[in-house]
Amino acid sequence: MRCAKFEDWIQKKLDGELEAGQQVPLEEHLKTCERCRRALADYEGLARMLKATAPAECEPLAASVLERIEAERPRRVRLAFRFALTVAAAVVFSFVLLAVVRRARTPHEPAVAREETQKGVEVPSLSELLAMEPPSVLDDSTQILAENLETLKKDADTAGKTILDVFEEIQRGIPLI
Amino acid sequence: MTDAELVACAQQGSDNAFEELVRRHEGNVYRVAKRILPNYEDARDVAQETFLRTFRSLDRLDPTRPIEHWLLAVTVNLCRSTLRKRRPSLELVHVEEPAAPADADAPALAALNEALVALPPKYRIPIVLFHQEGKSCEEVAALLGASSNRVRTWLHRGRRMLRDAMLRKGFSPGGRS
Repeated sequence: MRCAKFEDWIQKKLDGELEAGQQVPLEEHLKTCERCRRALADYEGLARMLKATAPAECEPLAASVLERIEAERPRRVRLAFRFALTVAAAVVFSFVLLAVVRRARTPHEPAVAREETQKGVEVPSLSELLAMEPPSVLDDSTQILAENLETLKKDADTAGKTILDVFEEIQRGIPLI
Repeated sequence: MTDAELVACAQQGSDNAFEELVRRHEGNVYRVAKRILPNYEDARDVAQETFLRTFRSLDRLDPTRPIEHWLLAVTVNLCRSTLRKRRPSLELVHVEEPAAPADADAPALAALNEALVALPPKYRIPIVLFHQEGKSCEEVAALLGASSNRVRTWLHRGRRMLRDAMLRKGFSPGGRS
């Protein structure tokens, strides 16, 4: 058997994985092959030297690690605060929208209806207004509000609730910090 | 307290428990990092970052599993990232001599350390984990995300390169004159 084959077996021996049937043939080969004998001796010497080396110890890390952890904590609190502000802004916007909706339901409608009726113009009711497509009814400045209102109305209808119910649920559901 | 109890306490928010975990394992973490990375600053940074990542991932840790496995895996991955970022010409800067035992051949150990540092990382890391940290081929394979056969190939090539480097420097690891 050629030395290249025994070189592989030497590596397996260093891995601790030489098979039972390979041990004796390897030993017999090593008795007669100085090249392989030197190689095994060198590898075993390397393994001993590698195990013998130990790096110098470093300074304790605990203090510096905990300092970094503390330094990161205020950033996380600021992020949470910013999130809370964003949520609060969304709540305020929702109440503004609610105020717009309530205003649309109040006595202004009859006055507008009376005035327009006097002019001979047919005035749609609020439910008819809500049922219409927003761009055909409202001007550009209130289109965004109307679209939001439409979305809220659809959500409410799907859940079998009124828009007021939805707003109250939003208020209750937002986590306060 | 056992490591499992410390992890559980740390998961409940105890900084003292986490600090104790760091104190217990900082030596091992730093040793592995220093064996893979020749630079003291890099090894210390990796060791510190290992514990920071462990802190950030506390919720994901299973207290019933040995934390050494987690720490070793994170350390090895951070070392590999550090080596990928560094250009090969910078790896030999700030190479420090290993701490040699009293009866060791200091020049030979220094030559071995230089040869180990000069090995490509894909050979150096398995050599460190197998010969210096006492991990099996299967454990090294699991840490590196490679097959056991691939790890054996890397070990064999790494050993040959170390032996060749030592012989070129005039050192015989096998001890012959």
